[in-house]
Amino acid sequence: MIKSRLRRTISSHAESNIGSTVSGDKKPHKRKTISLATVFVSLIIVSIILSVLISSVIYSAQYHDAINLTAKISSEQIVTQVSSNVGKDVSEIKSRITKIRDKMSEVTTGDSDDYQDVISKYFELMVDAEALITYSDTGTVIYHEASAENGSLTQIDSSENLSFDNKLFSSLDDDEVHISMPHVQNMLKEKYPWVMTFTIPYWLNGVRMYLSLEISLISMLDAIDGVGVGEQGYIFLIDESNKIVYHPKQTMINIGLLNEDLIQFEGVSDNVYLIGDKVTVVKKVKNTSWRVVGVSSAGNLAKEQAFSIMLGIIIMASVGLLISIIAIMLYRRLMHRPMNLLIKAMDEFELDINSYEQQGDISVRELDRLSESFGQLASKIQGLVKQVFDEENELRRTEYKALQSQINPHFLYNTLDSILWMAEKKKTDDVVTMVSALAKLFRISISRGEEFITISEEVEHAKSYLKIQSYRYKDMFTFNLNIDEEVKDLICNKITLQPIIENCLIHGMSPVDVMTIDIDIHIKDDKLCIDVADDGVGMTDKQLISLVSCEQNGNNGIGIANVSNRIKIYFGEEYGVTVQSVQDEGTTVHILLPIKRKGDNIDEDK
Amino acid sequence: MRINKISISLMVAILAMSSLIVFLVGCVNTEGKYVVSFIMKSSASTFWKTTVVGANIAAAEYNIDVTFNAPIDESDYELQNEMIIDAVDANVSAICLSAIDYDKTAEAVEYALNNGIKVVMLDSYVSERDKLIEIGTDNYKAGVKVGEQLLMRQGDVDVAIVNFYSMSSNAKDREQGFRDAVADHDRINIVDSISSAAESEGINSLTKELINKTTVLDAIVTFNEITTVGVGMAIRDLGKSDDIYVIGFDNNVKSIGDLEHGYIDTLIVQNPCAMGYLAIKNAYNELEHIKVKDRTIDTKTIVANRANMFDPEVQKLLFPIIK
Repeated sequence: MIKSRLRRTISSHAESNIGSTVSGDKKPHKRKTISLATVFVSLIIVSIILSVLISSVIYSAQYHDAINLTAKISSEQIVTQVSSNVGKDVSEIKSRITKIRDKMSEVTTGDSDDYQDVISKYFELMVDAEALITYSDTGTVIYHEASAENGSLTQIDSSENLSFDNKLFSSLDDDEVHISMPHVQNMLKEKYPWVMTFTIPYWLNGVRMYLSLEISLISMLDAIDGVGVGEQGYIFLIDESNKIVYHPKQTMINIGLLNEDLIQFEGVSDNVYLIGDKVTVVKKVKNTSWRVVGVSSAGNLAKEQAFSIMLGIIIMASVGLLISIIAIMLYRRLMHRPMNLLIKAMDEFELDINSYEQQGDISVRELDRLSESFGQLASKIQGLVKQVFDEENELRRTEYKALQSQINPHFLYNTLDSILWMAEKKKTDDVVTMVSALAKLFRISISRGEEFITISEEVEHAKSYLKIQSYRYKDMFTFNLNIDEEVKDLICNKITLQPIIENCLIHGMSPVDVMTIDIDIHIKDDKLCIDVADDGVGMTDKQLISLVSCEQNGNNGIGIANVSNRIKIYFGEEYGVTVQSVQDEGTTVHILLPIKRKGDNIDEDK
Repeated sequence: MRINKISISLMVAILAMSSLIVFLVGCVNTEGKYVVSFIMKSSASTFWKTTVVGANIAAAEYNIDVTFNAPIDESDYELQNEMIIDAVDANVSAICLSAIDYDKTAEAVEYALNNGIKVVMLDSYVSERDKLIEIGTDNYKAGVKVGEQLLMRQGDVDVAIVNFYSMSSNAKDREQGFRDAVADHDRINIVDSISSAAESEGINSLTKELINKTTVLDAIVTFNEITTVGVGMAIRDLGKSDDIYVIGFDNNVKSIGDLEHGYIDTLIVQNPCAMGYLAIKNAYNELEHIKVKDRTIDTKTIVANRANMFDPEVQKLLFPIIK
């Protein structure tokens, strides 16, 4: 019963040791982990990149329509402008030729020179005219002025005259001006300018004649070619029968390199089409049968606008990145560093419970709370550990006391047996000695339940024990006591010497030689030394190990380990019992104790 | 360790951002405008002025900057080579070139190609032919056309050839086409052949000499704008328009006048406007890595004579609108 109790005590002691040191199973907690900082940084970066991409997609989707609309509008504006310019040009030329016609009518002299003068005078005023010609109704040139050398014209047959069309002209109303398709003027010498012929009929002396003004195509084109619709856009002119009047890419169309789908304009006067990103605008030219068609690509405009939008997005993204960098730095300052400190403190706590100190200087409330809570937890654990340790010590102390108060039944039986034997032999003196020694032994053992007794009492106790044993082992051992005067008032744990002496008697005595036990108590290096040396047979290593590790001495009494542990419980690890033994030479036991006197406070927490 | 991680992720972030920015800017600003150098053989003739018109149309359509260059002398291949090298050094995107010399221009073309510059040939080519897109009249076919026109004449025809002597292969190819076309016809008799690099005036006097020394001459064929003008002058000067049938090339305004007045009877008119247009268009295709199916593009010729010259369709090709 006692034995098992003791064993449990030892094992629980070992456990408490473990608890206060560590951590045998320090877990290899380096599983695949991810740092919070990394998560945050990548989240921020990903969100910025995502937001830039998403916003570009949204922008481009939304702005695509807007840009197309803008392109439509701007294209329409330009084409309207061109149409009105062409219209103005045409009506200006129409009014010009009407005016010349009127001037011709005003000539009343009938002199051909006067007619020629009118033609020459007006032709000179015009910069855009290649020729000004009057025809008879059969197409014979009557008066003329031309841009060629000397104003001369090659007289050609009216059937070859590209400017004259008798059939068309004869159907003209009096004030109607006919505008021809662009054609080469083939009556000038060594000159083949492209012209458009404006023709108005007039009456001279009741004869129908025609006045033709040949306007240079290039001067007419200024109104068209000078204006661009976007970088890649172009403008062309078609007439009411969908025939191209003028197209800047005329040559390419002629040879089939380009194809302009004109059928779509059939009967269309004003319209705007948007096919893909191609904007087509049709506008009727006032006072003519022509229509201006503008073809442009919304893509160009889109590119220009997209650039400014993208610039905005890029700036937004850069600002976002800057903010995220600041956020990351703040995070590092406020969270990351204190958290790492806390983690480090926790790690240390894990290694050694007593080392933990609460972390100050944490400015984030949540972390501060965490740190504080952990601090409280730690101090609670520290308190609990101490409590368990103290309770454990108390328990053992109680157990030792119980053990000390036990009377070894073998010893008592043997002693009483000796006394009985002495009484039978009527050795009254011996009985008296034995009984008084036994009484002293028990009195000191009990010693009012106190743990500590003075050295002199302890020596008395040892002496009583030796006296009793000397009757049993007659003449087999002698002993010398050498106690310094100064140590007699010092105290030690009771029953310290007796187990050591008992050990000498058990292991040291030989049947041959008389064994001497020297007990020497003195102060050395401010410590109380108790040396018990015998010159017995000594111990084997095996015996020594079992002696040191065994709390009990065989079946009876208190073992050396018990003595040593008791000293250590009260005074700390530096004190206790050491045993040296050489076979055939003897065993020496050193007991080291602090210098304490009665009434000295003994720190039981050691 | 952790600090490293964070700075690395920051760096990655900045890298990602900057590449995103570069990507976006790249998307928006499709690497700027292409600059194309358009190098002709000469800038004086109607032919080349018309190519410029075509090139400008394509330039507007494809949003390309085109710079035009040409030596004054159509035989100055050294100056033209310098122009090519200058264009390469100016780091143009592409060169559209009409080579003066079939062999000697090749070196400069090679230099341009080695510098990663796309080269599109028009009208006259170089010996380094396989890699390049060639746009122009199929000269051999054009020569054959001349032969066909002559074959429309009735009876025996004694014909003289007045050709332009040049290092480009155009004139030779045309002459070869003509010779091959009439070779099987015994009634066509080539009585004389001259070749000169002279200007129109020189050709004029050479042609006069030729006409005067040849007893029987029914026709003259000539294969170049300059020689056509020269031959037209000689016919007019000698009053031989009724006696000699002349077939010439191109639409020089003088030749057109000669055609109208009967000094010249037929003109084979090329389409320089289309050449200029297609040269720029194909340069653009090359720069944009758009595969071109046919790397030799024949810009067709038309036959203009007194009867059809003012037909609307012929008119438009014969009389280019040049501002």
